[in-house]
Amino acid sequence: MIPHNPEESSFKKVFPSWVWILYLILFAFSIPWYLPETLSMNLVLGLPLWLVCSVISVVLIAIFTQWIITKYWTDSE
Amino acid sequence: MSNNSILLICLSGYLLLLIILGLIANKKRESNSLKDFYLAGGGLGTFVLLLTLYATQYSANTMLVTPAEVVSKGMGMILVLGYMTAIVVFYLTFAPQLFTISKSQNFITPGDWFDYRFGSKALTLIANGILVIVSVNFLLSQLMAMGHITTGLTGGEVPYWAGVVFLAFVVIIYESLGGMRAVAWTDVLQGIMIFVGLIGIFFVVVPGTDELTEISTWLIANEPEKIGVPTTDFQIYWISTVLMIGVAGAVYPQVIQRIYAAKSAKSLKRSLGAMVFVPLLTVLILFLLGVISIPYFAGNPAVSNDTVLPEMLRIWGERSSFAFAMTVLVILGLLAAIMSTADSVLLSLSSIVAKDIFGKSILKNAPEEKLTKSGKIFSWVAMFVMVLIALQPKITLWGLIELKMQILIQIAPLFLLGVHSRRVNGQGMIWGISVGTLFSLVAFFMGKNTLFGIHSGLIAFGINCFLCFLMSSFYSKRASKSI
Repeated sequence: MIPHNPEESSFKKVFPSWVWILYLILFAFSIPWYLPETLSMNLVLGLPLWLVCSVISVVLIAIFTQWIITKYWTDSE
Repeated sequence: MSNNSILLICLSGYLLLLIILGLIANKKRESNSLKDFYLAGGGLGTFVLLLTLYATQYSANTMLVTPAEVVSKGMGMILVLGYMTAIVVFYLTFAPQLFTISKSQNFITPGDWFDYRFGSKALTLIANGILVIVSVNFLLSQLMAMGHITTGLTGGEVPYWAGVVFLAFVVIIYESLGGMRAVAWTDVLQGIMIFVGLIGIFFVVVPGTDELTEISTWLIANEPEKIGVPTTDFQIYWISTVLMIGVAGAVYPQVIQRIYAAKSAKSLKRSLGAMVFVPLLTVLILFLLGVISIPYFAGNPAVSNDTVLPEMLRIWGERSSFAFAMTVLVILGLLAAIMSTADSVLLSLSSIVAKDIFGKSILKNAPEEKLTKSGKIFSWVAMFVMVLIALQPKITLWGLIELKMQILIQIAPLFLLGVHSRRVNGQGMIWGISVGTLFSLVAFFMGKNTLFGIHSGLIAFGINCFLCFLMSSFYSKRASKSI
């Protein structure tokens, strides 16, 4: 075994737990399981609604990610 | 002058520029240390870091496979947007902690983290073995893409073998000249080319709502399976793919080394904050290019997946001089995507072999300059062997992606659990990773890529994590009893 003693900063929590739950919800909405068949095939901008909803979910994930990085990830090194 | 001649002149200029950047990077080196060669001295700022992450992550696989899969499988392939975004999200689960420790401990390779956190030589050896296999696999897929794309884009004028050999030669030249500095600088150039190329071609062929409506209506009438709401089975595959590629893509060794190479936490934060928007500007464009390509391939199942985009570029390029100029840009961008990924993988592979394998065995206690030199020699040998193998392609690119991801994900607990749980230890990790990898390999070679619709690699990852906790707890209890 190599002698080792990981610093406490190895385990420092950066983002609160609710962040990961919200990610789970947003990613779940990027998969079109929740739309009724009749509604999901309506064309929006020439593409089916289920596809547009999926893209919107990813846009929300990107905005949310940018926000949590700014709010929770401090610069301490 | 023919279109192919113009393309070849532009290509020659681009390749020359890469070698010049390699030479400048060589002049700018501060020492012959491992840190200077493999991490550019650990001083990559936001702009360079963002573009090197972008160019490294967006490889031949993303560029070629996305539109091809949309053509062959339909709109469900929007899942690519999900997994490219998930990769950035999974960085956030460990990158902040890993960056801080890497700076205080002067990490160079992923193996440095394994040693530091788990203190087990056997674990580091197993994990590095897996990283080497994955990197070789990844490098091979990039070399094959070099051949496919040059032959596809020049209408067969440049043969497959010439594309592989010549582009690989340029990569190894600038990489061994300037290490990470050369790779990161060429990535900046390559990243800009990929981005400008894609945006350029998108403006040339940008589909209006009417065109998209026409394609969608045609699909509903003729190939409804390509536009309909994905079936439950496909949705399970979708979740599985997003998770598997999201987790595995975040722990590529070349990406881990870019976390180490960041100049400051601020640079890393800004780069990752921007990276999460990149799929919307890259994958979404590739997806839409795939959608508008569907009518061209209707009823033509014989078209190879790997050549859909090159063929479409040839068709679009014939529309006007401006369109041709844009296709030249995207062609160079495609080559840039392939070369920038190949150089990063090769550099990372070389660092693992030089520092973690040679440096702990035949070159133990050798000066860093000698390790750096051995890494360069290894790069040349590895590239030569890989080129020979790439000249005998027998498997499509997508097959290669699935194999490497199923194995690579088994390394993820070392980072994900390593930074979040004090309970996991080296012995537990060895059990988890060994069983997980074995499970993935057996399933792959039995042709079982998925089990109950879920990737066997992801199932193996679940078993891996469970065993990491279970066996860590077992060994901890045994140790405390013996005390």
